[in-house]
Amino acid sequence: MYARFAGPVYAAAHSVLRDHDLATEAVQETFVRAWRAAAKYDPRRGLAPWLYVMARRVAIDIYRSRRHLVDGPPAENAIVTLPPELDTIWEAYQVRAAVDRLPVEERTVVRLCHFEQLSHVEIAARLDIPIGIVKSRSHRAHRRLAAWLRPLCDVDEATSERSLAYRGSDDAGARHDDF
Amino acid sequence: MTSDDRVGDYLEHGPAASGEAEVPDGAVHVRQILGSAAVWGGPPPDGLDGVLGRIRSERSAAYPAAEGPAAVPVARVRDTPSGVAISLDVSGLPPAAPSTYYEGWVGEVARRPSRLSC
Repeated sequence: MYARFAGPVYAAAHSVLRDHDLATEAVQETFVRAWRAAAKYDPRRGLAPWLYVMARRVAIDIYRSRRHLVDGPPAENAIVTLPPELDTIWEAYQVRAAVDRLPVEERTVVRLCHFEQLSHVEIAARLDIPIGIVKSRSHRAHRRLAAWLRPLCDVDEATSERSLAYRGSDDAGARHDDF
Repeated sequence: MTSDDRVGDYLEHGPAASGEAEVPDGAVHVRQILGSAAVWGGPPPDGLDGVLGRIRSERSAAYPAAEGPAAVPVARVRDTPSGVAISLDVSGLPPAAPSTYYEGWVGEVARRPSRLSC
C-alpha cells in the first residue's frame, strides 16, 4: 500500500503545504492514521479515495498548526481559513497516481518534458537515445495520461461533474473507478 | 481524432498543439499540475521505515510485553503471471508455543476469507 500510494499522498500534501519536508511529514502521518483506522476501512469504497480523504485532512491539519504557530490562535469567531488552492488537491492526487502507473521509461520522458521543461532534442541528448524513441515514448505516455485522467480533463462532462462533486466532499463513499 | 488524442496532444505539446480548437479547462489544469513539484517529488526511500517505527512504538505502548506480543506485520503484495504473490515479514512475534502454530487469513471483509497456514 505504501509503495503504491506514497506518491499520490505526497502530491496531495504538497499541493496544500508547498513544502517537501512538511509533505513528507504528512505522508508518514497519513499512513500511521490509515493503520489506526484500518478496522473501519470498507473495501467496497476503494482504497484510493479513502487514503485521499485521510491525506487531505492530515495536510490541512499540518497547514493549520503551522499557521497557528506563525499567526497565533484564531479569534473565537474567526472564519476558518482554508489552505490555498484547496480544489487542486484531488487533481494532484490523481495526476500523481496516473504518472506513477506509467512505465518507467515513459515516466522519465514526461518528467523531463514537464518538470525540467526540456525539448525532445534535449531529452534525447540527456538520455542518450534517438529522438524517434523520445517522440514515441512521449506520444504513448501522454495518450495514456489523457485516457486515465479523462474525468479531470473535462472530456466527459458528466464524469467531470462527478469528479468536481467528489473533490469538495469529505465522504470517501464516491468511488472512482480510475484507480 | 478522438477526444483522448486531442487532449493527449495538448498535454504533450501545450497550446501550440491545439491551434484554433478549444481545449477543456481541465486539460489546461492537468498540464500545469504535470509541471509541479507535487507530482515529481516524494518521501525519502526510507519513508516506510519511519511509518513502521511509529506503528511499532504505538503497538508496544498498547500491548506491553507482559500482556501480549507487539508484533508488526508488513505484507508486500505483487502481481505475478501466475497470480498474486504475498510475502509477510513479521517482527516482534515470539516463536509459537509447542504444538501450536500461527495462521494468516487473507480475503475481503465482505466475503469469507481464505486461510493460509504457516
